[in-house]
Amino acid sequence: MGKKKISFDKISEMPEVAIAEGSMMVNKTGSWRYLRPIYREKLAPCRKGCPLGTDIPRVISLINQKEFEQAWELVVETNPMPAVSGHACYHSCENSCTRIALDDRVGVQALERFLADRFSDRDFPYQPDPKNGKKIAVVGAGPAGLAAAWILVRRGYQAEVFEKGREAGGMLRNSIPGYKLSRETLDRDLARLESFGIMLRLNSEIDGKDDLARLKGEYDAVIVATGTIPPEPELLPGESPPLVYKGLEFLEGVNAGSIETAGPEAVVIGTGNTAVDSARASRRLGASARVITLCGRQEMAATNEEIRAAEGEGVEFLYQAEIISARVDSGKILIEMKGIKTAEEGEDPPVGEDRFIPGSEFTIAADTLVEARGEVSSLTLLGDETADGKTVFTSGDAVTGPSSISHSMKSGISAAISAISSFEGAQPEDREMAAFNLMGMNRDCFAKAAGVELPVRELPEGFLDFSELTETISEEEAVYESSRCISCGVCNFCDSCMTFCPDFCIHRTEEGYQVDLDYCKGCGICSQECPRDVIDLIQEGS
Amino acid sequence: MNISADGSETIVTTGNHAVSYAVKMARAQVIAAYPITPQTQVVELLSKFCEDGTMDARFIKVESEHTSMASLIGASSAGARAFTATSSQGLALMHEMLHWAAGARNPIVMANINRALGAPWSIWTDQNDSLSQRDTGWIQYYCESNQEVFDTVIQAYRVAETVLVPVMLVMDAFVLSHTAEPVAIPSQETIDGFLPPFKPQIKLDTNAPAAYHGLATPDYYMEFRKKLQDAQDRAKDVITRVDDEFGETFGRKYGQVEMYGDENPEILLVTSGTVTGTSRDVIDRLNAEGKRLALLKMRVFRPFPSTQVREACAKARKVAVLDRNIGFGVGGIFAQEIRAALYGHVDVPIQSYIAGLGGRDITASTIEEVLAQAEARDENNGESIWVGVKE
Repeated sequence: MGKKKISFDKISEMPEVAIAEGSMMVNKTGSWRYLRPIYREKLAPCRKGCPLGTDIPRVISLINQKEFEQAWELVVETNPMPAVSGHACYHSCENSCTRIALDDRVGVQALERFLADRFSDRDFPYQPDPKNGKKIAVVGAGPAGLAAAWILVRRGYQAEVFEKGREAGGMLRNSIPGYKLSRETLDRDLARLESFGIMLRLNSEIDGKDDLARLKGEYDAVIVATGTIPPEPELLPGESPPLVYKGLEFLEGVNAGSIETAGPEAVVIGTGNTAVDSARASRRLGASARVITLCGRQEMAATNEEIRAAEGEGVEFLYQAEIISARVDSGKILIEMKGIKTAEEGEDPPVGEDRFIPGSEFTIAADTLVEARGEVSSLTLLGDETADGKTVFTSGDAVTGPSSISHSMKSGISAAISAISSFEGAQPEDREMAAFNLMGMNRDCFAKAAGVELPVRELPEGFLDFSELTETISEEEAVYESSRCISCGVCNFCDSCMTFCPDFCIHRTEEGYQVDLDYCKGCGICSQECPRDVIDLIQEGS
Repeated sequence: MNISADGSETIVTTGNHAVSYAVKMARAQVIAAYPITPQTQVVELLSKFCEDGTMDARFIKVESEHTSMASLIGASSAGARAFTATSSQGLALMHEMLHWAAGARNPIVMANINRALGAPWSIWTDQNDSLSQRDTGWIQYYCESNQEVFDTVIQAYRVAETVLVPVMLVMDAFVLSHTAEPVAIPSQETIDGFLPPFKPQIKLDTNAPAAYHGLATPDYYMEFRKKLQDAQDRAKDVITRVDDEFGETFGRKYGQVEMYGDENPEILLVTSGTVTGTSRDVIDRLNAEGKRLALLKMRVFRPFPSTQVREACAKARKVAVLDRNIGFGVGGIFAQEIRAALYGHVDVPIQSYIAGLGGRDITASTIEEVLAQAEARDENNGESIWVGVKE
């Protein structure tokens, strides 16, 4: 083979095959291209499902690299109470996890809890902006109020949180039973917020219009985050504790230790998580517990997970049961009920007397009745002073009615941003991202692998207490679980694009991948091979 | 198992597994394959050898035959001894890469188990798949027995690596691929002695980067084609030399063609593949009854052994070619090739018979019928006669 020889006069001088020993770089094949690959991250379903918009795929990717501290820092970028979320949030992120179609969701909450517990004594990794001299009052130290105050402090405002109770936490402390969220866990998040600069004014009830007017006078703005209040009992209107409780009232009493018994027989009316929590709490107080509901199991507002756990603890559910009457007789409540027919498919449910299943009358007795019929907004307490959009901003369940921890926090953050906007002008919106598209995923890259489950604390058979039921996963489990994440729409530097580029024109840099457009022919293989829909092809010149 | 004095052992095995054992002993280094009936057993056993460490080789699972050949082109270009096996539709899908492997002068060895092409679907034997690849530049061997299959794999690597032309080894589906026969397996030492490691003169080398097979302008393209043709021409001698040396080493040789039976026959029956074995019996029997018949077994099809074919046909009064294939619009493919080889050299009537397509059995009576027709017929109009078609 002749070195560098490029012209031949005789066949005998030629090599057996065509060989070019010089560089082919002169041939700038990029000029052939009419499609151009661009790296454009998409909104992952989990992040979309998270009210706080936490960058979950990136957090998980950091866990996978064992960069736990960085992962935690990214969590608290958007979440002021990581331990509360990690232990007790309803993890709507997991419901839309792409991985469900393959095997099982990625245990995002278990991973968040792992991080939160690992760095429980850590302060936020950022400092508040310099004080700007503005003072804002926040009414209510629940998740919405605390989240609002966190943003305000972060942006240089003085935030004072008025709380009627002796301790901060709101529904986190009052309504969520300890077996779901231990007080220690809650207190760790609260301590961090206080150390960050949130000022708590405990035992300070803001009661009605006059107090609010006073706050408006003393502060530059007021954010109302008073949460919800339970409605008055309907069934036995004249009765009161310890016979009849409102749902939240019961849970608050149990959590505070002031309610120590629910009698041998407790009955709960309601369909939501408050009802299920009340029943589970009653079981822990040694009572039998029944939940009466008009709807069927599928229509329950409580999550399936909660219902299953309650069933496992011996809570009995009476579905499609309508209460006909209730009365108190010798210290016992007697509830008379009838069963309701299920509507035939495609037909309206029967009405009038026809709705009952003939002969289905039955009566149950209760020592304690908890009416958990769904809480209502507390804003009515404040009259028409609320939400003039200038100095009073409302947030949390106070606006929406009962929602969830993370929705409340998001709502508080939004109210704080509105307040900030009123002083500083419109705040930049989050960058719009296209949603992750399943069709853009390369499923061949993902093998089935079982998802992690939280370890359940060992308890003697039939024994229930108020300690948290589950434990935190180990580092090893966290790294395993993180490896299951598809990282939908978020580049995790897997190098697939670079590996498969037939023209070797994708290069990895500190900032990410760069395409050498002098040579990229726009074949699209990188986009096709990308496991996670990060690379789009756009028409040249568009 | 029967171990003989020279260290070889005789096992009973199928044609497919005879390939697998030979590829193992040839110390192939990269195998890339996609399963297809009736070939799958070949690579199934090889994948096991790769997995359990019997072979020091990489097995690449691919999503198509096109990719299996593309992978082997890469492997072979990097200096690895490469192997694959396929059949029928799979071979057809590989077509583009077959041209490339030959043009790139990659000495890949492939076993093709002859299977009829669709439509309609068939899994049974005929030769249209391999003969459709006639002009891809590959050397082609057609095998008669499992022993010949084993021996041809070993010979094929020697030939391929000497002339830098890929080799396709061909055998009939089921009749050979799935039928067990005794096969003498030589010792690894003797095979290593016969087949040294592949040491290519041109190979991919990161220390001397070069681009291979890039655009060749009209100024040079033709020269590269001529070089491939020259290599095919050289292969004729190399095939014979390798076969002779194999014979000296292992006591078995096959030739490019083999003439069997009467030395100056009335009829010379031309066959390939397993039909040859059946024909030997028929010819022995009829010659014993006083006929003057002979058989010409076509073992090598590319490069076409024109000289040997002419020599054999010159001794016969008539030639009857039995094709298990059909060149649509012309006739039997071997018959056409033989006519072309004889034209201007040997003036003998050539009759073309088509039989056994899509796995229809070619039995002793089929062959007797062909011979009877050949005896009765004197015309030489070039048309193929279909044997056994329902009429």
